[in-house]
Amino acid sequence: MRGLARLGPLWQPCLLLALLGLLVHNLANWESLFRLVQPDTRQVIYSRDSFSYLLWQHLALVGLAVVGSLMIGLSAAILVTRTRGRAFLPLVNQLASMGQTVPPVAVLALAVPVLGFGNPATVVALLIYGLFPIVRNGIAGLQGIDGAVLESARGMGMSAMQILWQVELPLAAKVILAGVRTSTTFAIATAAIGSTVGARTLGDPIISGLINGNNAYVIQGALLIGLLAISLDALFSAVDKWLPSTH
Amino acid sequence: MIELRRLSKHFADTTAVDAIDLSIARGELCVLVGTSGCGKSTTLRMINRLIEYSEGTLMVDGRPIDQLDAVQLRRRMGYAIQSTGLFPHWTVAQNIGLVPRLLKWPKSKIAQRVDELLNLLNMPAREFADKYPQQLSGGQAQRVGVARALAGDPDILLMDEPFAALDPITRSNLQDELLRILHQMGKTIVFVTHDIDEALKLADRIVIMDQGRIVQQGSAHELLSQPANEFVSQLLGKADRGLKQASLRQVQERMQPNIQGYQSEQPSISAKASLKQALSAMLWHQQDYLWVLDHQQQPQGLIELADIIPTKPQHRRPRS
Ligand SMILES: Nc1ncnc2c1ncn2[C@@H]1O[C@H](COP(=O)(O)OP(=O)(O)O)[C@@H](O)[C@H]1O
Ligand SMILES: [Mg+2]
Repeated sequence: MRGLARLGPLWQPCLLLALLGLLVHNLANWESLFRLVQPDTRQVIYSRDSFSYLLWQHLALVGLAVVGSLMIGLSAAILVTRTRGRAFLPLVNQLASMGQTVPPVAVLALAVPVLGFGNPATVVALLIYGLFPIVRNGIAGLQGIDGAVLESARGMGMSAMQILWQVELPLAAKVILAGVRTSTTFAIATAAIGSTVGARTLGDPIISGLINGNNAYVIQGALLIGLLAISLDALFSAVDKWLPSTH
Repeated sequence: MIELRRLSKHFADTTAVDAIDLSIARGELCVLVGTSGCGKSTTLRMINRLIEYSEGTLMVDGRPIDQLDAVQLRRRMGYAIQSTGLFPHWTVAQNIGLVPRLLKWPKSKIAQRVDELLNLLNMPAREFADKYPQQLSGGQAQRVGVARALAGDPDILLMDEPFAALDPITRSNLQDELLRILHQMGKTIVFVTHDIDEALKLADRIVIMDQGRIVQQGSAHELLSQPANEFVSQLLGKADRGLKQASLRQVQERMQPNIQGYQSEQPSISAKASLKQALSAMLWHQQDYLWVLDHQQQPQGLIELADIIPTKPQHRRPRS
């Protein structure tokens, strides 16, 4: 009973994701609708790739990047909050705050000369940019834990590893999740710009539409990206509500 | 059981504990008492190696503590602190079951132990086992903290001002319960407090600390009758010393086994009450004797003011 009640908040993201699926598969059938926007153009539905292909491609880039940022960023946050790594804490904290002031496009532009055009450069750029919120929130989450809780964990005879996995990470989970959420939102938006450096994403119709003066394409791309961002955000919000509160 | 020899702890610019000697016997309840910052917590935390000592030796069960694995050592010592440090993401049952889990007890034994401890601390398991710490009152949280410290059935219990944040009534109840439980279990306990009344009530032995040193140690009675210096008598509360001493003695130790002329409507007192309570009752009733009753309200004897203050002739006020 209690488990079901907790799953409650999942309805919202499920609904949004279903809507996204519906749009992806049916957008191509709504030619007459888009003709209203773009009456004089021969082609009003973007068709170089299917929308579902672009969506999966977009999701894969974002997913890879965010998982990468989480693994690297959280490891860094854990290391600098141990006794041995504490010397690096101010440095890493400062880097993470400064990094967030760099526009994502700049990171993308810097990745291209190193990794060439295409998907890899985009993933790496997203990953690096996604690190900053995760490191910052990771540190804040781990440092925000009540000292008495950690003292009694140690006093009860938990090992350092047990304290990390059973106490620190669960208690920091909400704050860490908020960092992942920010990273994901940035990654979804930035991945679209990845189209300009040769990645295949939902940004393709937008870029193509802008170049060819085809607003129908722009709307199709923007609609799907927007809905994707909202759905995933709703998913994070549901997970956040599902995590036990630990105030 | 626990032996501290010339034990010191230096922090960067302070000496928190300064070459103290202390040996605590098996089954003893030893209370460290002193003003804030005198090194009580540091001493306690050196025993379970939350703090490593700087100099001296520290032995537990005849073995130097630095030869033991710190994590294993802590699982054999219960630890309860003022701010409880309960895990907010775990239920009461999970919190209490922590050390048994670490010790890899079978699940059924852990569940049984949790129930047993909750009941022992007057918190019905059915009502409280699945609650989260945020849902408990201060007194209940502290009980769970004590239960968690006892869960692994440790020989040694370390308690750092566990009741300091509670209101006087809850604190007094918990002190009574602690005494009751400890008498059942026979554990060795090191208890830290800044509250001298708590020390007088609980301790088999009181260790008075000041500025990282031990100023005096002994039973409550020894300390009250022979304070080593001005600091100790200040701490014991000079003006109340007589009353404090009277609160350590029971009426049955001084009463006369004489129930001639007993009348049930006259003022009476329980045989287990303290002499302080007897004095208070005499003041209240403006009467210099009380009948003494046992727990079944049957008369046992008589206590007179002169039994409480058995003055020698030379101490009587001269009358002219
Ligand atoms: N981790 C620490 N670092 C530096 N100084 C400390 C530390 N812990 C305690 N002290 C100092 O040691 C002294 C004794 O502290 P403590 O044992 O906590 O006192 P008490 O428990 O009697 O109030 C105090 O002066 C305190 O400031
Ligand atoms: Mg203290």
